[in-house]
Amino acid sequence: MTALLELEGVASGYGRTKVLHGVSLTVGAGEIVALIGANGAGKSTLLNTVMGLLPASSGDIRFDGRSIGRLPTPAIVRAGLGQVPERRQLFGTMSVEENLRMGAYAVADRVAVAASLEEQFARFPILRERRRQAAQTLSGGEQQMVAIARAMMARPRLMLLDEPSLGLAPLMVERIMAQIVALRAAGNTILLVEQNARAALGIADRGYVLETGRIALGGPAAELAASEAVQDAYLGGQGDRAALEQRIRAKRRAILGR
Amino acid sequence: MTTAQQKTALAALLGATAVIAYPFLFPGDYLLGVGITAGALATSTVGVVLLLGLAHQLAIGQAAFSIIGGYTTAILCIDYGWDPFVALVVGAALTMLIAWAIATPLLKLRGFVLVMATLGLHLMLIVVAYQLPITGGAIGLPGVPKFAILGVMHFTGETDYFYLVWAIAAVAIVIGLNIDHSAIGRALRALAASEAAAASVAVDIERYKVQMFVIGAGMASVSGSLIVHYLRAIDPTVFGFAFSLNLVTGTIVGGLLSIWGGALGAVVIIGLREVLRELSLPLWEAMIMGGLTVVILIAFPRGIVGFIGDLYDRLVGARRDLRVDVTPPGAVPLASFLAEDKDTAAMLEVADAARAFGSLRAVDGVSFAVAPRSITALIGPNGAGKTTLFNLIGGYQPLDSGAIRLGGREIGALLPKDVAMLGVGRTFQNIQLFDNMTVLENVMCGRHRQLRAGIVEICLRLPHARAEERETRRRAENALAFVGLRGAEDMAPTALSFGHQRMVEIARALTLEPRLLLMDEPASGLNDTETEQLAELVLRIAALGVTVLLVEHDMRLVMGLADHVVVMDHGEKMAEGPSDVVRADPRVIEAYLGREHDSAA
Repeated sequence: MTALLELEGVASGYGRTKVLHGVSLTVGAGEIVALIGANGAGKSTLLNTVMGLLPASSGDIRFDGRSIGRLPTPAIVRAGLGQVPERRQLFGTMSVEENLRMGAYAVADRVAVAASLEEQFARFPILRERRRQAAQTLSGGEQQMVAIARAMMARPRLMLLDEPSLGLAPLMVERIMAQIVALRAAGNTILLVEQNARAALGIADRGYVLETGRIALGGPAAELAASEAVQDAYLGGQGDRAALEQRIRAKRRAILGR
Repeated sequence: MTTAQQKTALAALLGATAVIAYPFLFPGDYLLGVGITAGALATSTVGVVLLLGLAHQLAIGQAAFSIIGGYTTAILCIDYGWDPFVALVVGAALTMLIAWAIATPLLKLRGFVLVMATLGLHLMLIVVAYQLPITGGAIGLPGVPKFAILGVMHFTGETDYFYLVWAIAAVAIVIGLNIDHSAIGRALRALAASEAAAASVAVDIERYKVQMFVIGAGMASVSGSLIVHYLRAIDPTVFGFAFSLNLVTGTIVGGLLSIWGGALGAVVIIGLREVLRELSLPLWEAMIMGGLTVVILIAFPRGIVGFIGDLYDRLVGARRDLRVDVTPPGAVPLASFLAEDKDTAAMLEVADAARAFGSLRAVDGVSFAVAPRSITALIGPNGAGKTTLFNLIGGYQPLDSGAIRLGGREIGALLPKDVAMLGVGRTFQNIQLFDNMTVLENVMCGRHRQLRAGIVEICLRLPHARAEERETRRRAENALAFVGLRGAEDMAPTALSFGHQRMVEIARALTLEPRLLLMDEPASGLNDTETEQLAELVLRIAALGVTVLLVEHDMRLVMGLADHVVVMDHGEKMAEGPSDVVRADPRVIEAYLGREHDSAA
């Protein structure tokens, strides 16, 4: 396995607030790597630092062996990284097709853009039906598809996905995860940031756990999902998933008496 | 004393010292005249801060109101021999009346259109001043007397007049500070941060915009009268475009977001002009002024006062280590606020509600009722129309047909602020806190529904306004403690974890004292521990007698909390009933829950 993305001791943050304290990780070509962690652990900060939206104050970021830590965002995009940002960040009043075309903004070859557009519609047939509709009128799941398709338009070699399951119905989470697996089958490499650790580790090859700006654990996804530390902190404890519901019901009886 | 109070006290002390010392340091009529001009301008720039900095209205033709004030003063004093002070007050009153009359249509305009409209108004008044016989045409009106108050006090010496002008500027600053630190100041900052969230706490923003416009106009008018008494004459060139531009650049250089910035900006602009004049560079003045302004703005984006404020924080403000004293939700009780239940069978009744976007029927004839004091959950696949329905209930979108009733009263046609006024609180799927305020101020914003103090009471900080402010603070502190976040009062919302930010949003909604609380995906982005705390909080809120309606995807939360579950699909109601019944419904499993929940059920 060749490493496509390598982070070595990366520190970063906002102004004087340091969020990441020396993060090292690798993403191999053709892998899905899950990055899980609590809110505020620094997951989105890490993605923004890789994309050059935030400067790394120390450490090195290499993409395909080449250091990209000092490059501006447009150059990083040209190098072959694509990001699907948290909460999708679509151009709400523009149509689905216009949104997708914006994803290939830097691609001058019109034939290539048309082919890429066709590829996305083949991947997400529902978007072809909705191509003339304003992006903001789509459902959350469809919007997530637009966000992914938009990032795929430039045919990135590495996709950074930030919380694709956020705000989606349980069934839609399953569908989006299946789409991500399909992307890997088509030869793509994906770094998947998720709050929904269960869904992410369910499809990933490997995973990392980020805690307060540091990598606390890393390894094959199945091993992480089975580890007691991850189960307790991110998967709702050893017991079955319904335990939380039972605890809430007990509270309801205690507080409301019904 | 909080850091903010320290800064205010320090600024007042420094400002007062500088004003008192100025005539001793810079004697002579000419230099005193410079000081008088700066003081008169400062009265105006405080108004610019209120209008541009606080209310975000790009109305930059403030000099138009100085024209009205200036000419009124000159005409009343010269032609009718009025007392200058009375003339100044009458001029300000007339100006404010005119401003009030044009405010509503004018402030419908936004951004650059408003800039052009206000400049156009200014231009019109200049033309009128040139044309009317009563204004003396191009020659203007010479022979304005020196300032006096009711024949008792005469300001014949330049030093006396200098102190008077600055005393009036001080009044403008105090009024500005009172507004800035009041519920109105918070409301206007709230609007700048999130329009939807401001409406959700019943902020009547149109009224505040008009008030700021009228007060700003009054200040510009007073400023105009003061300048006319100093010049002893007025003509159409006195309050030209250069004057308007000086007001705005001065305010921006000083600091658009601070009342002190406005006052300091006036001083800096006038001071710079004099220094350049002293250097005998009049021809280059405009260019150098422009260049310096650009340099200052690049170096200090938030103006000089913003820079000094940051410097103060770094040097003196030895940041207290703010710590949140996290307690379980409900550990501190919330003062009860709901009157005895006299509601009808349904707190909320949605009857055949419909809303379409083009050919897409987002909500297509949905009916259900929410029982008083119940917890009801609205679930369904993405795109089922849940958020649209929420927006219909909250007044964020109009109903195409059907009805929505709150406690029997039709609310389908109301605006968000009016729905909030009736006691409907809400939280947002993407947390909408006001990042330009502290956590406590965010929560205090929830109390607009209960506020009664008028604009005059607020401007002058009269006892009623102060009592209300104290009560608002007390209630907000209570709500924050209730959600379990004592100690977070002075923190920035962004410094809190995502889960705690959600709690702040709930505290803000509670300060509204809602009968009905709408929560849009409250558990989205929360981990299991946070979700459990959220559940506890929702239960404590329900125990207060508040009716809760929530949209949520976390089925453990929905099934654990809800008395009643409504399932939507493709804009229609697919099922409703107690949670266990809905969970076992094969259609719901097929369309929404999926197999995992099937086996869990």
